[in-house]
Amino acid sequence: MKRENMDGVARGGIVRNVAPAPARMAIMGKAKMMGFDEETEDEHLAVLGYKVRSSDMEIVAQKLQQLEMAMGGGAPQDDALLNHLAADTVHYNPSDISNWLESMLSELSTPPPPLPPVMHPNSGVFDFPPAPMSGHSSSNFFNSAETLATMESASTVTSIELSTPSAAMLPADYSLRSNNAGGNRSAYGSETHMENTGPRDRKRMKTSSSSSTSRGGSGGVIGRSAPAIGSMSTSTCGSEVSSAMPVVMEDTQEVGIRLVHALMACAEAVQQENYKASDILVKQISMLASSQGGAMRKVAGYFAEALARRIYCLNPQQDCSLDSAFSDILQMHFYESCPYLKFAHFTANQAILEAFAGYRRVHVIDFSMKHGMQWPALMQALALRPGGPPSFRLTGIGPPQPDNTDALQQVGWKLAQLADTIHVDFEYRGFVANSLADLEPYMLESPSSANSGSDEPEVVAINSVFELHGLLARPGALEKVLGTVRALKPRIVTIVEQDANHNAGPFMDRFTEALHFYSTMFDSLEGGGIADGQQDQFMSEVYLGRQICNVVACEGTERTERHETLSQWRGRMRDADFEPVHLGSNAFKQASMLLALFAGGDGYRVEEKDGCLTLGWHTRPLIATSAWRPAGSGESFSAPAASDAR
Amino acid sequence: MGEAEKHNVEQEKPCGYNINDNADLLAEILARLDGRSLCAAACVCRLWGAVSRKDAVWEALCNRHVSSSATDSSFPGTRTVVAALGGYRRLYRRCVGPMFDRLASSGDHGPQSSAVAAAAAARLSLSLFSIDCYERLSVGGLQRPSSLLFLGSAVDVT
Repeated sequence: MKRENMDGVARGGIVRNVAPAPARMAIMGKAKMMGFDEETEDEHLAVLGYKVRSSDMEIVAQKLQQLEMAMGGGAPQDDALLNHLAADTVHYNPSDISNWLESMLSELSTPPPPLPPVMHPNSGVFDFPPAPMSGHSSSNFFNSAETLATMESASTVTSIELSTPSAAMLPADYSLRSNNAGGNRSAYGSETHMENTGPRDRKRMKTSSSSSTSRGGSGGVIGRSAPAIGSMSTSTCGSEVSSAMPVVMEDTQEVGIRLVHALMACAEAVQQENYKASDILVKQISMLASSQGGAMRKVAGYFAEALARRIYCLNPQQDCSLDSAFSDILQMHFYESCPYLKFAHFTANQAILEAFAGYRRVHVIDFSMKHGMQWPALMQALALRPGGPPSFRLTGIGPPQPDNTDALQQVGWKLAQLADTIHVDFEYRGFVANSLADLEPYMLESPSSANSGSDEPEVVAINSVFELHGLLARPGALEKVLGTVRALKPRIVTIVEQDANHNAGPFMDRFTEALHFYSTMFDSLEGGGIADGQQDQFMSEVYLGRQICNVVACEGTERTERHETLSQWRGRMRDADFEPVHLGSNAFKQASMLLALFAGGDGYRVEEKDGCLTLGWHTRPLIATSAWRPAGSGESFSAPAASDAR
Repeated sequence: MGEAEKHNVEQEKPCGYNINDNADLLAEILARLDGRSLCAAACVCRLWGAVSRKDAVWEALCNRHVSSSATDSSFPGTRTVVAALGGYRRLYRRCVGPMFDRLASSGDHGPQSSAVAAAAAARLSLSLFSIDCYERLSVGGLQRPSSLLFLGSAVDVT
């Protein structure tokens, strides 16, 4: 009979609709509903993989009758449905695992059928546990996908989780997926199999009331407890190191894995310049992504767009000035909706404040002026420090603006107003520069004529938030800037950068790293849940999306988002003759308290790494603040021991 | 108006001391309330409304929350700065109050648990407040200050 696998649409839905009476669908391999004959049934069942004894056929027949009655038997449409059920379904006997597996495996070499309606609980694990009662096998979404992809094995990795039969029909929205790396791999090359990138194990659970009575014979189905999987996965998400993908509590886990696979496959195809395959994969990614929810959909969407841009060479025109204005706006929203920039500002300010202790004239050079959101807090802290505020001088550096509005000047004016309110002596100077490498030390040094006789030493601090990585696009630019910095003899240099390696290695590595990193960031945005913040969140995502686009789609000097890890930056600074300054415990406490204020911010983690502070989501550090001074500055500079003093 | 009320009350209770007799004492008492109760107190009568709008009351409230050490050396300067930035009432409304609601709901013991944490909270709230004030300074055009949105629903201060 019909081992007719349905090429086509999932029939699972039909099964659901067909059963008005809940639960009690006996799931057995039934060829015909009416008038079967024992010998042929037996054969057919054997073909299907069931080991049904003839003596049990009677019971089977009874069940069928019950089924028929339950379905309101006899109505013509039901007939059709039942026939359809009978004819077009593939049933598996889970009590006979090895055979079932064999049948699954043999299916893989042929176009696999999507979604047979008979459902089994499956969860993907890496080692196939021999005992069926595998506990809550956890699967790290992303890691699993990756590992499988690299395993190059054609085996289906599944395990069956059995639990106590439950009487009620399980909610059909929970399902586990089984991973099929092999299937995916083989699917990459051929177009026709694109749609079936995994064994169709989207299975739902139905229980059979009769299963308790008939043991092996009728091939009873095992019930399972649904929520366990979902909760387990979410807990996995939290505990795994690179668990970047959110676990969506719907029947999309399998799609999620497929999505990740597709993304990786596409990136690899792009790396191998197999543009045909990558083209197909990109389309598939978009389709898969639309079925997901939340952060995963957005991340996949942005990455798909970036890949598409790369494939079709549709690089966004880097109209620098327009870009910068737009990205300023986006960064403002990013500032508001999540703590990364605030963390950066607060920790850098604390370092600068401590460096300025005792000086009456201070000068800050800000490489990342934008809207100047960092400086009100510093000015207020300076105003309140014991001994009174110093005279504060600020030099802001920014890119040219599109419509000739002097954004830097406006920012300076606002800051001056604030400084006036809190009685801090304030001077401001703005510099417009296309690139930081265009700056020379003499431009930034405070003109000594302005001192007008004051012989107070002026102490300089240099601040850069997410600006230095752009310099890596042009060789030599970073060295020049660091040379300029050194020439200014600063007391402290505060640097905030992303902690990720999006610059080295082949495209594939970069892509993978970026996928991890931005998935984590998007996750953290999801957790935000700010009252009013929908627009903010969306704009932040666009902001991050532009970065993704740059990392994936651009090359050469256009690729400015060349993030490097904290250790890499540390190495660079050391090579440029800087020595680290440890950020004190004040900065740590303030940062921790700041993060505690963010609703849904339980996932944020502040960590101290060799004197640098990193902010991450769960276990993944995302940005890092570090402080430096020129090597051999001489003074024994350290964070003031009196941590109570401002 | 206070006089009339006092007379009425005095006629009712000729031998009792009336809480409304001394505005300063009333301020002292109200300063020990928490934010919500203080706002409720402001609705009682005009005298109470006037007293509870005094910045000193809110200052005591903020200081009680954020700084358990009364020997904060920057006290006098703080008052000037806060006054310049908009006053303690606004500080409480925009920063301190939401901060404490958030910290309390997240299960922290709150900064009262340690002096150092309290000091950190004080600094943080002032920093956030200054950022908020900065945002309110508009250069030609009205900007909606939103850097404190993350603290929860913010209603515009009168």
